[in-house]
Amino acid sequence: MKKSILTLAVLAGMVTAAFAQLKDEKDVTITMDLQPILQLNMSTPNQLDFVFDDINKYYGGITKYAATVLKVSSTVNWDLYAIGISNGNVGAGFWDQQIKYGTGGSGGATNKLPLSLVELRQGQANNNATAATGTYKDYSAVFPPVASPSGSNSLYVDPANTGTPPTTKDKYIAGHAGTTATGADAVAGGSYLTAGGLTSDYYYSIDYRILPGLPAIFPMAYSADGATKQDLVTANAVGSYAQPGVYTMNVQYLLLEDQ
Amino acid sequence: MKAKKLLFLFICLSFINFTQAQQFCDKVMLMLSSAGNIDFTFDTFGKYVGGITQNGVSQLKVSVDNSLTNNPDCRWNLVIYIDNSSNPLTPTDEWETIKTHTASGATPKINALQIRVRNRCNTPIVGTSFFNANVIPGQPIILISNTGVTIPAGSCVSNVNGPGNYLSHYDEYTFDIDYRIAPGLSLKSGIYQLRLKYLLTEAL
Repeated sequence: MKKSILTLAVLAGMVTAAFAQLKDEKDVTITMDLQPILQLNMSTPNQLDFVFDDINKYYGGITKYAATVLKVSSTVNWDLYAIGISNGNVGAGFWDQQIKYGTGGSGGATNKLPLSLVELRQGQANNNATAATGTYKDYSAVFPPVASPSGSNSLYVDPANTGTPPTTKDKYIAGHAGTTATGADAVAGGSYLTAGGLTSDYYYSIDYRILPGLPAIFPMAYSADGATKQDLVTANAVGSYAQPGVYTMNVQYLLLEDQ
Repeated sequence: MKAKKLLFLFICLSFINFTQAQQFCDKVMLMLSSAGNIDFTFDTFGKYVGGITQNGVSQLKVSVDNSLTNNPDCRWNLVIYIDNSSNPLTPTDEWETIKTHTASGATPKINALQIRVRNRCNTPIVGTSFFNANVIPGQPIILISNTGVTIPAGSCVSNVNGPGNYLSHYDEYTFDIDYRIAPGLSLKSGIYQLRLKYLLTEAL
């Protein structure tokens, strides 16, 4: 009797199983590879020439407006800064002297022109640097007048000429030192193409100024944090001035991920 | 006497089982023609902003047969399930992270994936436009629904769900699947993965 019941139960189970719902399925795997992109488009002549052949140019300096336009596209948080570099043939942190004119002057003439004598002005303020601790967080100030020297626009230079990035006390064009957050020390991923163009945080026009003064001591040269004068008199001695000649240096713009 | 009662009970139970799980169709078959992996590689700025669309990279072919039983209630459903993880730590609404390249940005949400399902008769009930994938895994995206009404092959209207196959009614039983992803610029760089399960079932 028990066997019969067991047999019937098994059969019932088979009947139930045989009428399971018909199904068929197929799978697809979708892989998304988001590769980081940091893209800095720069429109500028390969060389900017500042020729001081008139007394007024010495007094008033030479300004080249919007000589460089920087356009950023990035998929990651980023920082942008400028740094002055040279080959260092007269010393680290100084312009390279290619040639000197005549005897090159006498007395206080010096060929040690600090890289920081170059002034920059960015068209759009750095809106992502609340974590900056220095006096000048960027290059957005107007060029200071001749009579009131200031380090507000002097180019960042690594004194050792090793390419060390600016610190929290120094100037960045966008973002800043540290990795706290966007707004504090980083700009969020985005592009000048989609973020408002000329007035966005992804588009910067850069003006350049070199102001030798008379005598040519370059009064706008300051240390990286803008606190210490580096003009030729302060750096050397009273009576110092720039030795006439041809000098060259590079301004390097670095776009890097905020990490 | 007891044996007779048991036999009666068994017959009743079997009948209940039979009616609950009765097959209306003889056979259902789903064929997928596509690579098992569909890769979206975002390596230019234009791709990030403009997105990548892969049209027709998956094609589903349906065959549902009732020629043996000729049961008029033979109908079928076609749905998509999205599975985001083999890792239990993956949040339910995000893609599974395989590898990250950077620290900044957000992990992509499942609904970053857009799907379009089409055939010439526009039978899928999801319409003819791209739609975002469901954020909640386990919730099916219904392409052909069980409405309780058989819409026979050859009708060339929405939700054709009667017996038929892609050979005799190609425009109703073939589905071209398009995929689109436009990540924008706020996501964390890395490699992410989703699995899509296409499920054809007999409608009971």
